This record gives sequence, structure tokens and C-alpha cells, in this order.
Amino acid sequence: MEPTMDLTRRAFLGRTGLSLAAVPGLGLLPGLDSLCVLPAAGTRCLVMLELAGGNDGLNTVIPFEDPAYHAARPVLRVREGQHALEDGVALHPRLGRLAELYKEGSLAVVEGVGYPSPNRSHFRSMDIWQSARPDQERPRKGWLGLAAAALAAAGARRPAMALGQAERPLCLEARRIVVPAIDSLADYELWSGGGEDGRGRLAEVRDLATARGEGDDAVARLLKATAREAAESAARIREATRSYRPAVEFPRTRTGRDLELAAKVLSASIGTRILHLRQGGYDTHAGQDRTHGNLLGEVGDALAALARDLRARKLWDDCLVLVFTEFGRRVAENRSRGTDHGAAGPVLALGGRVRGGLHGRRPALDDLDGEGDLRFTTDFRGIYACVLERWLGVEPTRILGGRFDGPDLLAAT
Amino acid sequence: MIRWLDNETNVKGRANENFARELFELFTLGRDQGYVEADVKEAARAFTGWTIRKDAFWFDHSKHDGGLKRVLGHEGRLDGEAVLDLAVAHEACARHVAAKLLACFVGPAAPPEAVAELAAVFRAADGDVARCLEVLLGSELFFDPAQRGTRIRGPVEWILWVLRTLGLRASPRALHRAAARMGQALLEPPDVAGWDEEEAWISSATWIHRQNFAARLASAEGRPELRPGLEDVVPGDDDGYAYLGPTLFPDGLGQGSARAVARLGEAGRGLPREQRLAGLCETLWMLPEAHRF
Repeated sequence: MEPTMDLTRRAFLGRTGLSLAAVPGLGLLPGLDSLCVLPAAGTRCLVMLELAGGNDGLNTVIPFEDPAYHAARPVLRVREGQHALEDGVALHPRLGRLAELYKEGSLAVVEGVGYPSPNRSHFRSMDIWQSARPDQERPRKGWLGLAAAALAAAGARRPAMALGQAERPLCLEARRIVVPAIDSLADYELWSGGGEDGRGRLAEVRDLATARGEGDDAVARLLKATAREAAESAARIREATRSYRPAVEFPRTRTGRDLELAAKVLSASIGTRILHLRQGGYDTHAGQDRTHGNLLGEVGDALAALARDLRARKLWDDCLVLVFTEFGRRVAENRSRGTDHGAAGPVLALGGRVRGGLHGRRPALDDLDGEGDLRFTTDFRGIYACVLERWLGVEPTRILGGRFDGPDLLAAT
Repeated sequence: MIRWLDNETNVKGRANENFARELFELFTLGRDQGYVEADVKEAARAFTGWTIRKDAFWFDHSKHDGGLKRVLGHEGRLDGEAVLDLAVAHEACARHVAAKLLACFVGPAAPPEAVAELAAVFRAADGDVARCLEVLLGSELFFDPAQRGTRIRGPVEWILWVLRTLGLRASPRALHRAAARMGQALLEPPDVAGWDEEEAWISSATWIHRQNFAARLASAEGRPELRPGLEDVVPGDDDGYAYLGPTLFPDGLGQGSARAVARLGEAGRGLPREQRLAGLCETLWMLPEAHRF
């Protein structure tokens, strides 16, 4: 079924039960909580890149003209080599490639992103960012999973994927779809004994075993849907990416490899609109300096390669990369040459159609909260709302549990 | 713990919160249960000087902050041992440990009142986990058929089920590699919280790794890794299901799975027994029921 493009949003909101046949995976009735897809989205893709562990925002987007920064960071402050953007902030010395993208207008920086009553637990705060529902104690659905479910209900076959990881991240969870997770394409192939003949026979038998049955509980539905999705996506994705040759050389790092996989999937035209990737290691309580620089260098160089590769394929205009983390780190460095868990931090947005430049309001370094952390100035859900509505074409208020305003990150088209 | 949570750098005048925070959040009280940020900061001071020397625990008096601290409502010149005692004696700790034991040995469908009951045992036994297990493993709840099949087997649990139900052995190195691909590299959890478990084990990628492990193990290529071979452990000369079915699935199979097995029996007619067994085992190991317990 085609996405229903002719309906106004208001008319759409009242409808339920759009398209049973088109819902992959669990295929339950969309029912009352069915979400709606707005016109306009087309083929735009979102790449969510998670910096796990709590990236030190102050040493990523550096307020290097602020004496309070240097006072709070006598050891860890960046003194030279930083790449000045404008208005007194600079990118970390290892983010030179991103500074180039900034100059080209392909990088938007939102300063001071967070949420009310920040939680300093990695796990809780990451759950909050991935679900966008701080009101839920144990969220089970992710904001992009719900967006993917809405796209699926409008006919998209495989709207979202997790790349470079075998686990399904919370942000891609939804009740009605099972999102594939691909750790590495080379391993993403079903193997079976008994030669060609045996393989075919076993596949047929497994189809029987994983057919939806009456009385299946949630776990049974998950296992069966995953088994089917694994078989189908393995065949489809290998086929679709066979002809891909990178247009540029991606860095030979973990993140370089993962973003090359992202480029592969995006260039395969298989309808995948949402990708989630993660780079870990940002929990820099001690000896931060070198570790943090290496991590930023890895991610910056890999993102620049992605930009060049997608540009060469004329896909950069249809790509939006959001770089986020669960929290920034404490303003004052600790005495182990590291930083402890903090609160607000910057979000980066890259793509051919972002409104490049600085967005949001810089949190004041001399007006910290009771823990000594930055007060947020932009609610991350405002950024999500903008991305859902204007980039993916999915109605945001149901997913986010309310209306949120945020900076206008996208250039008018 | 000390190394992973940076306590080697946690010294007097330069407290590092990492160890204290995760002690409360992950290992005793549970997230946001009965402690606040100030408790984390003060507790961190109590653990100053806890370090490692020659690969063993070492308390370095000279790095310890012996000053007054206030943790979980108690004030004094608290040291690390005192904070551990306070945490373990806390009501939230009893509930947290009870909930973890129930999630492991009964499953996610364990009734909430069982948490309160087991927490009471934990408190009465002064935090003796062995006593809690004694009570739990002898309880009606533990043997309740309604609690069977509510958990998802993790990679190690599934691999061991595959091998041990049939008395098979395989190279530990190969098994370790296989489990790692399925998302569980033993002794290398993804972070201090450990693995997420349950539904988090299941993704298309991990499913493919489970499938490929089952296929390799059952096939002629994988056979050299197995001791003894499938033909030796499955008695009789029929297609093997008469033995394998009840051995692997004492609670029976769902309709879809039963139908699949029946079809496999038909398809295997006329093939050598070795091939029939391989196909049967690979299929049985990958039935949805094989991944629950």
C-alpha cells in the first residue's frame, strides 16, 4: 500500500488501522495508538550516532574565550590547536574535519542540550534519551522505533536498522516491528548444513516453526518475528549492497567501519530511513585527555568520510546525522585528570540540508546547578520533534508525549 | 571492580565518584532507590585509599580521607566497610537483591509480592544470599509450571542447553567464540551493569549467530568439534525424534513447531541416519521453544 499522501494531518489523526498487510514483523493491529505519517518525507534518512558513556561536551565544543572554562579545567582545558567556529567557541583539536564541514555549512551545533532534573546514571539517562520519555520509569519503546512503526504502517518495508552492534538499542524498540541489528555484514549470512537441497528444506521447515500462531505470547512473537526478519534481511541486504564500492577511503577504525556500513545501507535504496550506531568509551573519569582526543578524532574523521562518500553519491542532501550522548560531564575537572558525570551538552547535526552554524543558547559557566553542572537551554525533545516532523515526516507529539519546540536545524527546501 | 570503576584514582582530597555511584545503583540499592547525589559524593570519600597492589586489594591508609561524612542518613568518620554495611542494611538493598534473584531463578513474571517476601528473608538472614537461595529454590513459586518458559536463554545458557541435554562436549575455545558472537563474551560484559539479558539477547544478528552455531554443530563440518557424535548419543535407529523430542522439550512443543518437526520427518525419509539427525538437531535447536526456559 502506498503511503496515504493526500490526507491532511488532522484527518489522519483520527484514523486507525491503516494497513495490516504492510506491517512487517509482529503484524498486530495498529489499533488506537497507531501513529501517522505526514506527507513530504520521501527518502530522507536519519543516522543517529550515540557517543556512549557521557561525552565531555565542554572539551568538544569549547568556550575557549570564557575565563570560567579555563578556571574550571586547569589540567584538562584545551589551550591550543582548537578550531574556532564563531562567537567564542571552537571544536576540539582532533575535530578538524568537522570544522571543515562547519565552514561548508554542513554542520549545526546545538549547545546546552538536556532535559529537566537531569539523571546522572548512564543507564537511566541513556534510557531517557532513547525513549524521549523521562516520565516513564522503565521505558520499553524508543522514539525512533515508534517512528519506524509509523513508517512501516504507511508501507515502508524495513524502515530502521541498528548497525555495528548485535543488540537492539532501546531507541529502535516498538511493539509492532522488529528492527534488524547488523554487527558486521560479512557475518550477516545464514548458514545451514546439508547442501543446497538441505538448506531449502530446512528453510521451509523453519518457516513453519516461525509462523505466527494463536496464543503466542510477546516473547514467542519476538522470537518468531526475529527469526523471519533475520532470514529475509540477510538475503535482501547482502544482495542490495553487493555492488557498493566506497567513493572515499573510510578510516580503518571501528567507527570508520561502522559508518562505511551505514553508507552501504543508505546507498542500497532498500527503503531504510533510520540507522542507529554507537561509539563507546566516553566515560572518562580518569586520564581523560588522550582517550577523549582519540575518540573524537575517530568519530570526526569517520563522519567526514561519510559526508564525502554520500556527497559523491548525491545522497548527502537526503542524509541527516545526529550525534548525541547521555550527558555531558561536570564542569570542574576531578583530580584524577578526568571528569565525572554531568548534565547538559552539545548535540551535533550534519547533512546536506542542515542549517549550519550555532544553535540554541550557550549555558552559563558561572550559573551551574547544585551539582556543579551546566543547566540545559534546549530540551532534546525539541530537536527530536523537529527531526520527526520535518525530516522523517512523522507526527511527533504522540511519540514524545507532548509538544516540544527546538531550534530550527533544517534549511527550508 | 576497583580497576574498572577508577577507584585507584580515588584518593583523599581528590575523590572519584565512579565506584560509589555504581555500588549504590547497580550492586546494592538500585537506581534512584534511597540515595541522592550527596550520598554518592560522600560515599566516594569513604572509599578513598581502596586500591590494588600486586594484583590484590590494598588499603592505602595514607590516601584515605578519615574525615566526617554523612551517607544514607548516618554520620561519622565512615570508611568503605562502614558504607558497605550501611548499603547492605538498607531496605532498598534487600528489595534490589531479592528482585535480582527472582528475575534469575523464576523469571520476569514472578509476582511482585514475592519480592517483598524474599527481601524479608534477606533482612532476617542479615544479607546472607545463600539463605535466600535456599528459601527460593525450595519454594512453590520456583516449581510453579506457570513460571516455566518465561525467560529467554542467554547465549551461554542456550549453548549449554544444546550440549548438556544430550551429553555432548565441544572445545571450550570454540564455545567461547560462539557465545561472544551471540552477544555474550564471558568475563567481558559491555559495561559495569553487565548484560541486559532477556529480550535484549534476541536480535536478527544474534539470531543468525545462533542459527549458524546450530548448523555447524549438527553438520559434518562441525562434527569434529563434538564429542561424542550425535549418532552415539541418540539411541535407536528411527529418525531420532522419539528420543530427542521429550529429552529437549519435556513440556512439549507449540503447534507450529510440532508441524515443522512432522514435516522434517517426512522430508528426511530415505536419507542416511546421520543426515536425518543433523537436520533434526539443527531444527530442534532453533525452534522458538529452544530459546526459552
